[in-house]
Amino acid sequence: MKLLADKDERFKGLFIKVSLFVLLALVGVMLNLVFSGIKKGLFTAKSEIHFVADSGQDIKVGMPVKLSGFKIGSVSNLDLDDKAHALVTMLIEDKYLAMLREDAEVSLKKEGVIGDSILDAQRGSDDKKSLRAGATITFERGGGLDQIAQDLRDRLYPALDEINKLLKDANDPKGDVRQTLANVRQFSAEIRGTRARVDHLLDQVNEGMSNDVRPTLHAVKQSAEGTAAMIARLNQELPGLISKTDATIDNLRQTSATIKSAVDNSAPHISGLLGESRGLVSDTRTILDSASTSWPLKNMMQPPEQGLVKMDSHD
Amino acid sequence: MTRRRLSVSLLLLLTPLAGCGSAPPRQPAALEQAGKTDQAAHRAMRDGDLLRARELFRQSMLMQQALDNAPARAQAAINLASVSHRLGDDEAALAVLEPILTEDKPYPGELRAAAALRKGVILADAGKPADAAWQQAQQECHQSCAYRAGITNLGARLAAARGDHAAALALAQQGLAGSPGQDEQANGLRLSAAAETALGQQDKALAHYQGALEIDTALGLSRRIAADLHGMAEVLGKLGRAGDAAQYAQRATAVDEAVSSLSASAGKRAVP
Repeated sequence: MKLLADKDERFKGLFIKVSLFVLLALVGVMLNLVFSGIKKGLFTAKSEIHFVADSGQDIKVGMPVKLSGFKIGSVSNLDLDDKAHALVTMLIEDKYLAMLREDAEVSLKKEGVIGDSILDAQRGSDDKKSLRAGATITFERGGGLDQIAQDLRDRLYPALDEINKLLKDANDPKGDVRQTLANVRQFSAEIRGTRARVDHLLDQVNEGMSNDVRPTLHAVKQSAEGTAAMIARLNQELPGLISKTDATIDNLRQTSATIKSAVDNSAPHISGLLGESRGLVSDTRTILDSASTSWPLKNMMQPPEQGLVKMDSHD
Repeated sequence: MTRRRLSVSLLLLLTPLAGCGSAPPRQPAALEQAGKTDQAAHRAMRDGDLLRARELFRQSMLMQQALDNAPARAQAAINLASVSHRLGDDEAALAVLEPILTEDKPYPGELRAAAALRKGVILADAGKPADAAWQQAQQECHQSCAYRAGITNLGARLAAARGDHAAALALAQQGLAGSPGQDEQANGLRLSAAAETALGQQDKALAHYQGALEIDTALGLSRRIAADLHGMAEVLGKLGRAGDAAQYAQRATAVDEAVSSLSASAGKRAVP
């Protein structure tokens, strides 16, 4: 029995029309699924690559793996090995796998200060072979604020120790610097003594050359001998003194280079962090301001004070 | 049909609620920044951070000056003077008030009156002649001026300082009559009580001090509570009630000591 009268023109070929409509809808849904799958890389050939981490902290299934900022794969599985280390499996698209070398590395990083964690792949050396499917590569945890602070600490502490040591040496009475100063002071005193003797000799010459020629000459001889000995001693000590000074300057130069390197490496991070933090605070303030002026929060908050500060005849 | 009506009614009810959820329209950046700076200064003032409040009021004043908004600039300047005075920097406070009182700019009369009152209070606190500022405040304060009672009470303070207790009492009573706020009522009562004490009207003085103390305690104004207690101790002493006088004097000293300790840690005159 037919439910609808065929006499009505609108119902002619109704089954075909409905079937066509349903078919088109199904095709549309299928196409949508296919395009989504292509976009998400469901139909892209991938290979498994593994790495072992001390801990699975901050590593999650689905976490993206990026190379030079491009997503090349994702974490597909996390497991514990028999030594309680995290065994991580990544699925890397084959077209990108060829870019990675045998000594490629992945490190755990954050995108921005509060961004999501990602695995950042380093390509490896050009002279190595391409990475094969199923290979295990090395993993390095780092890149967060804690790591930057730790790096800074690791670099600054030895430098500061060196400076402390130098200052201690400088203050030590038996140290190079104090000893050098003592030697210079002694040398100066000896020079003063020599001059006194020469003055004395000249006096003697003035007083009576004829009577005292012989003793005077003797005194001159003694003075000359003293000066010669002193110069010989100075010649002996000078190389040591110079080498000690050179070593001290070298230490200072190394210290300066270490500090400079630490600052150079950390400065871009710190500047970026400060900039991002400032932006974050500004955004947060904007959100809070907007929220506090909107219903229902604006009814719960005290209206902001404005106008003149309360004042009277006694204050 | 009933369902349709219900749906339409619900829609009509919900549509205005959508407006509640939306934030108010944004002002131009400079105006918004100036407003926020002023609000932040008020917040700092309320929190007792006078140094920050001073810096923010100074910024607010400069921002309003940059926007050529003379009334808002004057308002920020008076607020800056108030904070500077509390921080003990009277010279700076008077310097920022001077342009409002002397410049030929379109400042509203009430703001000029407020500036003159502020100048008079600063000078009176410092023991300097403040009659000129008081007179200017009176001239600028018209019928609907909010500072009328304060200006009258300032006149009573100046009269009392001159030793003219009768005039001080008359002005204080006048201030009491026209005072819309509790703080000036308490000031009027305290000034009346002080004048009455000097004029030998101890019973009236005690009642007025008691009234002032109740208001000051309710307002949480420590320095004025101490002044009320000192005044009551003096009156009770003159009334021959030495025991009560000693008790009030002891309470006054305790309040004074606490205020001094708090002010030392929080900045000069951070405690009201």
